[in-house]
Amino acid sequence: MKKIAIIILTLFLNLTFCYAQVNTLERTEDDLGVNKNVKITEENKDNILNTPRVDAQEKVYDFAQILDEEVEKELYQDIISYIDKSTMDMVILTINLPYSDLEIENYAADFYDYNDFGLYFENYSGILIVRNINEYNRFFNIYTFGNAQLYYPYERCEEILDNIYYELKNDQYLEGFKEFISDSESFYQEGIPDTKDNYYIDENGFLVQKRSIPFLFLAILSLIISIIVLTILVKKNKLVKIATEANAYLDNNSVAYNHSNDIFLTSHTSSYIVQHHSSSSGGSRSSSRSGSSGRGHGGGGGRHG
Amino acid sequence: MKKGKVLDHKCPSCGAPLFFNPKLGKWKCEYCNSVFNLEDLEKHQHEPKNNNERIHYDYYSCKNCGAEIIADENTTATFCLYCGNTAILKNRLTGEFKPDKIIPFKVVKNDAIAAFKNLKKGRPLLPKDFVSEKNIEKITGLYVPFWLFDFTYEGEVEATAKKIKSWSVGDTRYTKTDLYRLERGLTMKYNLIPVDGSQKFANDIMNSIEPFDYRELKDYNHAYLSGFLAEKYDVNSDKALKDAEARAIDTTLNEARQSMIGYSTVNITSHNLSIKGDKTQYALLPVWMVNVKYKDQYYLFAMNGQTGEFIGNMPLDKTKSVLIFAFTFIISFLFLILITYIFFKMGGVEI
Repeated sequence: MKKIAIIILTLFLNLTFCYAQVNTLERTEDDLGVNKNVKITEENKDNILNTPRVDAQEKVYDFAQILDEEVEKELYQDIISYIDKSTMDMVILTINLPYSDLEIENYAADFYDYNDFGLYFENYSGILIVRNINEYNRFFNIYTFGNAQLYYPYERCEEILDNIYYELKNDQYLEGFKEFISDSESFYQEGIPDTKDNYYIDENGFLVQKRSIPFLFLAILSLIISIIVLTILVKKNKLVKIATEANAYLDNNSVAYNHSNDIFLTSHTSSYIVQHHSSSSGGSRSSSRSGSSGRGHGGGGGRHG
Repeated sequence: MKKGKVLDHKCPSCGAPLFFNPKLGKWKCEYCNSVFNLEDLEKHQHEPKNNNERIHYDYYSCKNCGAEIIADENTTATFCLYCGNTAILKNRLTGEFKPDKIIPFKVVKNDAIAAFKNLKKGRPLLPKDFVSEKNIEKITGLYVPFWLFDFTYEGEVEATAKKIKSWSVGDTRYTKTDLYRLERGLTMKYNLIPVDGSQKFANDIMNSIEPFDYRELKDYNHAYLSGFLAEKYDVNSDKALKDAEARAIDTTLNEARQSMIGYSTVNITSHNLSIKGDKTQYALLPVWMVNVKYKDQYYLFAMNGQTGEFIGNMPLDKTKSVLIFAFTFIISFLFLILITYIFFKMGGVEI
């Protein structure tokens, strides 16, 4: 009786909490399975091969097996709704890997870049949330790609992470991810924040500060040039000048030095440590990081738990 | 007031007024076309009897027509306004006022007019009608009194100098500074430094027409004055020497500094230079004075009567100045915007 009860319970659980496997496709040396926009190099080839190849239309990728099919479907519908309203892609990714924060970030970035996410949007734009449930590092974070870096800068990502922290920490994934989608949509509706008005996304997906022509500076420079030109022209009209030297009347043959002493007095040596400045390009790539693909991405600080 | 003795030049052939012709370097009679050199004229010239006589006159009698012409106390050569005869107040050119040297005129009045008209070249701010000949009120060929000083500077110049050497070891930058005291004992001779001997003429104008070519410096002779005005000095040589010394000291110190080579910085701290006067000469140097009246303002130009160097301060066309300033501003502003735009574009940055 006991055995039968266990079998019935197992069947019930399987029927009630049905976790779908993620459909992955094979990557080979001959068919890396990346779109033509990905630059393949010797350095990133292994990363591509090690990145799961998925159907970019599924949007929810539960490698950690923490979402049942119904949840996935519900989230999928919400994501499709979000994509319809916005001009960017959205991905939910769960993993169970013994990775550090940085390794998770690189994994997520490669997962986005080496699949066809954001392919139909300007600058491959999209937002991805990753949840790692491995006990080594229970961690979740939001990563942004393309124009999503403008709509979801660090501060907004942090706000979303705060909003979903309780749910994800307590494995309430449906609520947590729905909140993520909802918050993302709200922020999208609010538009690009003022702090990112002066930025744009370059061809490599990096967030770059716009350089506006410094009109005031150029006007002052032009003013100085005009004054110099006018001064030169005015001086052409003023030919009279008092003589202050007599070079023309010096008899060069008469110049004689009857003695010449160079007396050493003292010596002093000083030293200082040269400060090396970081090689950031003037803040123009202020907040983008890069995965192995070489494309830029942004995101929040992440949460552990 | 006393009537002065006037030395006038007449053509030995016909008696008409005789003028020095700068182009020929000789004296030419405008009436009979006779040409004379200095030796010819000296045969007809009457030297003054008393070289020590020093009398100031305010007017003189023209030997030619008898008219009385008023001249200021420094005038030594002028014209009779009635008959045009050259008249030289020989009393003012004797004794201490007798010049030692003279450089005869080489350029003529028309050269001065041409030089004046030529001022418009390369001067966009000059009012267009300024260089019109009708604005010239007077052109005067004038022998200006100059003192020419030969002297030698002797003495010591002291300076401090630094040798600065920098190098790096790893992240550390070292700078070694060696301090030296430099001493130079020197001698420098200056020849014929000119100083304007007349208070009438602004020193800066007379400075600006320098230099004169002293190779054409000749022993003074009254005959060179014919056809031109002349002045005698009213600034004594002691006072003028101070101006010459001031000019020479700067050059001397600069020369001394150039002997202090191999140092990063040199700063002259003191000098003990004494001057040894070798020779002082009183000379008359040729200058064309051009008086211009433009829009009720007077402008004085001077031209070196030997080299043709033409100087003077010119008025500015205010409208042109404003337009050129605005034009330059707009063009440079647009150009800088374009350069900035291209620079940003080349840098892969979107505007």
